[in-house]
Amino acid sequence: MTQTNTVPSPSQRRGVWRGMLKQIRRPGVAIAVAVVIMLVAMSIFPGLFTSQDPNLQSILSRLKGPMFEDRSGVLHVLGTDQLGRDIWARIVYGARTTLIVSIGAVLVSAALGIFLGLIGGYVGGVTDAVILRLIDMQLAFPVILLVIGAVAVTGQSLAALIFLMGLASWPTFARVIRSEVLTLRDREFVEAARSIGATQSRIILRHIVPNVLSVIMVVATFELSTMILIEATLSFLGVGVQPPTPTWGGMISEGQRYLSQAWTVSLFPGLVISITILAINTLGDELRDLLDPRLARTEN
Amino acid sequence: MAETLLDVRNLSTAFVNGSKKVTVVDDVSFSVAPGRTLAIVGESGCGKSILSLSMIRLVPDTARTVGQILMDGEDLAAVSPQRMRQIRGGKIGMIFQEPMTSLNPIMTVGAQLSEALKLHVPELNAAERHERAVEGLRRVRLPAPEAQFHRYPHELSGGMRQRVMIAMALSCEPELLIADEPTTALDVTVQAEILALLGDLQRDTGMAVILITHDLGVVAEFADEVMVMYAGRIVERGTVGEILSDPQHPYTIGLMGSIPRFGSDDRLLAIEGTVPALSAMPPGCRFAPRCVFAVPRCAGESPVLREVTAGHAVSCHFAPLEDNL
Repeated sequence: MTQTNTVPSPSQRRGVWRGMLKQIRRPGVAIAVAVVIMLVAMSIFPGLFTSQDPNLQSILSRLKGPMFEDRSGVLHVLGTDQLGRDIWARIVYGARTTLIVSIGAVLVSAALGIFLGLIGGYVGGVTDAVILRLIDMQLAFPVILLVIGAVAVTGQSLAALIFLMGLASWPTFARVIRSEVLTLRDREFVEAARSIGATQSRIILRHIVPNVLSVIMVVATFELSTMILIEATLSFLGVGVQPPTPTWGGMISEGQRYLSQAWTVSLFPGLVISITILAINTLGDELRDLLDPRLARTEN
Repeated sequence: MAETLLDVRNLSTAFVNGSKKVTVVDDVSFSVAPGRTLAIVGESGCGKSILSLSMIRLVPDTARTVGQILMDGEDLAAVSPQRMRQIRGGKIGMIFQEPMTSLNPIMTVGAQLSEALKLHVPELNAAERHERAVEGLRRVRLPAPEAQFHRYPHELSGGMRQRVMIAMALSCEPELLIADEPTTALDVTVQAEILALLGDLQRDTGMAVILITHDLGVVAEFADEVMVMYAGRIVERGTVGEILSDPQHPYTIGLMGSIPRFGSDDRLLAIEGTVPALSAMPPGCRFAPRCVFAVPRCAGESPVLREVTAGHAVSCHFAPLEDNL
């Protein structure tokens, strides 16, 4: 007689998507969205963006400026680096490494930070105090220094890099989630859930986590751009992803030795990093405004 | 009172903060029979909400409860946390004061209703749960229950949300419903509808209701028995007729005197003074500092709750007042 549990279309979430679509009409947001879509496409189908091999060396055409056409008639749009490799091709192929490392690190730090933040905020007391001290300790220690030290011990590998970067930046998540859970814990609907006999784990997973999801998404966006920067810094310092795998930070690092002869080698990957972070932060800002009813937009 | 559903004996709840101990509910005993309504009346801070939370063991972590809460031969104060979870939402349902915030804002009404069923009737499949949840919404007379099932709380009005809360509390057919100021946050017309609904549901299911309120109008309309609390203690207990027509405790008399009456030219009589701080309670009668009848004995000696007529108990040295003053 009655229809079975069809999944209801969640009107609130639909509201967020509608809000997103509305915001896209603003030029800044539209550009940010386009940049992010392009980055993702680049890392999945690098062949669509360049026909060059990012590791093909040519001693004759090294350190050339933009729009350089070599003997075989190949156009190097952004020029070549110190080994004659095409800079644009390296930027395109580097997107994948950069994104894998930074997204992976965000996932690791989110998993750890959300877990500890939930526990600290929900349980409170001594547990909370211990987690808070851990956060303070972690924050007092520079992330980059920590990763450099740890990499020296673990040896360099992509997995270790991702894990260490994530491990070093969990406090951002933990702090925000903890304070959010602290206010949610005493809300009436949590008490109501208790009054119908819900278990603690059910209250956390079904009532608290969904309510901090929007905050998690916003923090994750901002963390992503931080991670891209950290990865670039580590590669620049020579402890990140190892050559010849192209990464943006590594390219800047390699180029700086030739800055007086060919400024383009470092400049273009640097520009790409700036544009990427700008785009992601713009989206993060938008997301926060849309998901936070307290910051409800007055304009239409 | 032939049979008893819930028998609370010597229940006390105290908040402990370091070496300081503040007793909020002090040695309270009462019982409720199936199908009857007990109203717990008192002003803000008299301990009535903490008393209700103590009964289902949902007081904050800093509180300590002692005493017995007997229900069907089980002492709820002593059962395991697992058993207590089965009882909450199973045998005992609870409605809270704030329908606006008592529902999870990002879960549909249906999902929240189904939750109680999932917890207490796990053998139901999704289709049966859906059916029972919609049936629950129909029972609380929510218009278009099938459509409400997929709505979010922010799409409902306060009265509708309180109906959803009632449906949630009743979804597993509890024997006892604890309603903590269920109508305080609603406007008067909605308040009357919700009370009528609760009355009908009680008749249909035969459940007992503990109604916590500060509104004597609600008490007169809905309760069978009344328990008046002041500063954590019961000061008077009896049937609704006796309490409202023949109050014996000076505090209850004061409460009655402070209700505005339509068509009356008498001045409203406020009770002078304020409730003493819980940490600085007078050793004797707690109402003595505000009582117009107080004598030196009241300040030193705490009165015991004793019956003046059958079923009407008063905690005052002078009760019944007509004979002793």
